[in-house]
Amino acid sequence: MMEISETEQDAIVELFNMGMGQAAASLSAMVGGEVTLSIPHLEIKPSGQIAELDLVRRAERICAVSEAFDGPFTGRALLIFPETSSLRILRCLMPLPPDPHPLSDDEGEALAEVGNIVLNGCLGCLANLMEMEIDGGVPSCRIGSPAQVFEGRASPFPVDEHVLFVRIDMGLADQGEGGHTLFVLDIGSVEAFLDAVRRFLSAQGPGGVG
Amino acid sequence: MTTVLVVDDSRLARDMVTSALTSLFSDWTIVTAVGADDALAKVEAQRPDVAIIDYNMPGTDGLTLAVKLREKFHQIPIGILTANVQDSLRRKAEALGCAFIAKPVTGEKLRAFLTKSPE
Repeated sequence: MMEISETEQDAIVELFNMGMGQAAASLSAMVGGEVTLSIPHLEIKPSGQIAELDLVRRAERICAVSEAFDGPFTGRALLIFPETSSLRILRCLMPLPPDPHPLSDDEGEALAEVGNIVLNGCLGCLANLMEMEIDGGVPSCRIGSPAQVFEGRASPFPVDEHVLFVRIDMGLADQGEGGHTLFVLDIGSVEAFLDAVRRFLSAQGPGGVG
Repeated sequence: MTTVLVVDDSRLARDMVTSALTSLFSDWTIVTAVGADDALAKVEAQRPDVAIIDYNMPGTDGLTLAVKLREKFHQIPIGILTANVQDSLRRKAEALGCAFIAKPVTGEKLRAFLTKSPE
């Protein structure tokens, strides 16, 4: 199993912290309210275990916006919310019926744009900090039961393999349960990612990123 | 009368730009398109004075569309509107003579772009 030193883990957490800070600022400006963020959580595990996240197991229906990214390292970025929380976000952006309801295609498309702003905001900030180019794909939104979203050929992770997994919980302040932002690096490119992290650390000098 | 071309595959994003533009310039004509092909078809019928284009779209990306629009309309101001805040993309946009507008769009950002651009 790949070893990631404590210093590298700390740097990865801080890089995603800064990236998600930028993304949260963009989402906050979009919805006109405070966005809360957790500290990034980092681990290596099989991609199939993503479907076992507490939020995913508890929710009857979820919305997952995902996009592939490519560059010195490759992977997928996802924004996962329970459907009820997605509706609360969308209500800040567009007129919706007052009662909870399954998201329509139009609402799913609007949520994909929210994902675009959050995921690309974070990836863009990371790319700037690490002085590299990351190409993001066009985000798509899947809505349904966790099994419908995470199983089958259209799943964001059709092959169950080990991945480097960074999770940041995100939500609207005072708006109940939020969701997860996930950055999932293909294991084959983790070494390239760690090289980039080491270059970033070395560019910060002995004081580190602080 | 000023005509603005707004190109974005997301309806929410198009609506946000349209709303911000309308609040700034209520008499401007706004032509929306869902992608590069749609935009190129629409400008055949209605010449834009300004274009605001999403970068990350299915098929042709916003920079490629900007090049095609420049071939047709040499002088029009073009803003690349994107959630991708990478410096490398900003430099590519600026190299094409396009403004870089970070999503989410606001009236202030549009005003800054439009007041710098010749109408």
